Amino acid sequence: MLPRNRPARETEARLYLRLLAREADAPSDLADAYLGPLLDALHSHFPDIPDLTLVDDIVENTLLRFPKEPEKYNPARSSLWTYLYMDALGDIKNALDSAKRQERKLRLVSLDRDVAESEPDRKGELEEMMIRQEVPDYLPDGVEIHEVRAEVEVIISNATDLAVAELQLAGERKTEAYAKALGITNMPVDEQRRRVKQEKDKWRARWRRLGVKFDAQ
Amino acid sequence: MRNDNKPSHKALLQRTALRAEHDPFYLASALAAYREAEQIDDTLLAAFLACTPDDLPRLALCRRPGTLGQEEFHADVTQIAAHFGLHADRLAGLLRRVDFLEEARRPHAAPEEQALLLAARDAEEAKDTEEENAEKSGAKGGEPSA
Repeated sequence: MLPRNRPARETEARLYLRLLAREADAPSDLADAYLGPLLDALHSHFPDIPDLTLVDDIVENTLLRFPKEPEKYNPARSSLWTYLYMDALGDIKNALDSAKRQERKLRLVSLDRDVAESEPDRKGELEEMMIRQEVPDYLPDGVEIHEVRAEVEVIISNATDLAVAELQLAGERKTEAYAKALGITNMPVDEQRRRVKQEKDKWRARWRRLGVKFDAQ
Repeated sequence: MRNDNKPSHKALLQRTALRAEHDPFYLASALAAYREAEQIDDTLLAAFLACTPDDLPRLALCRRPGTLGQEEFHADVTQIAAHFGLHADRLAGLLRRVDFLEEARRPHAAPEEQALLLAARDAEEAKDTEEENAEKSGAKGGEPSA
């Protein structure tokens, strides 16, 4: 029968001391004691997870990683069980978030391809279409800037666009700063001003759609 | 959610041990290298070490002796052997052989270094032959042929 119950506190304490002492057989005892209970607990935490092996893989990695750095765990703060559980839980959540981002990116790439192929002369509007698709106009009034920023980071992969967006979010107004971000400092000053204005206008429209208002704009 | 057909504890440990084969921190890496070098299966490996095949996953999940330094090598081997009731000398021999193979495979090993390793290996084999002759009969589990 599987040892599905989490180890007792005394067992945990003994095992931890053996891991700290780098006893060669301690990692094996750790896996033996925690593998089943951790898998059961985390599968219960994520009952509808699409990739069943994800939890298994992460729990295995957690248990293989811990004996290399047992000092990271502080017994005064939590039980070893809680530490391992939280460690694996964090990794699972990160993996799920990452998969979600990847899926969204693929969707956007697909949209990019569709628009580029069907309407090559409208490529300039592509990013705005993406924003409209990802962040609808009906965003609530109390939307936080950092949320919008996170969305934009996902949507806009172009480094220049990101730099300009960052400047605007930081409240930067100087043309020089924008010219630098756009990489046009070698151009005549008038041309720099014209392009910066154009870029600011483009972003102003985007921010409006995202529900963001800047006092300075 | 996983259904009632949960993998057995043994199967879970086997899977984890398999993953550990790619991690030099774990004894699994050495056992896998030895199995491959000697072209043997788990049954023969277990017989060589004087344990059962069921012990292998837990054995594989031990820290590989020598990872902390060569001074601790024998203490590590002794501890593992005592835990699983293994033939300690054979475990040590297995690890020395794998160390040798891994060292020899290093692409940047200088010719002088390789010559030293070969000499060490010759000495090792001579010692093994002596031990085998001394034991002749009675050793638990037969050593797999290379």
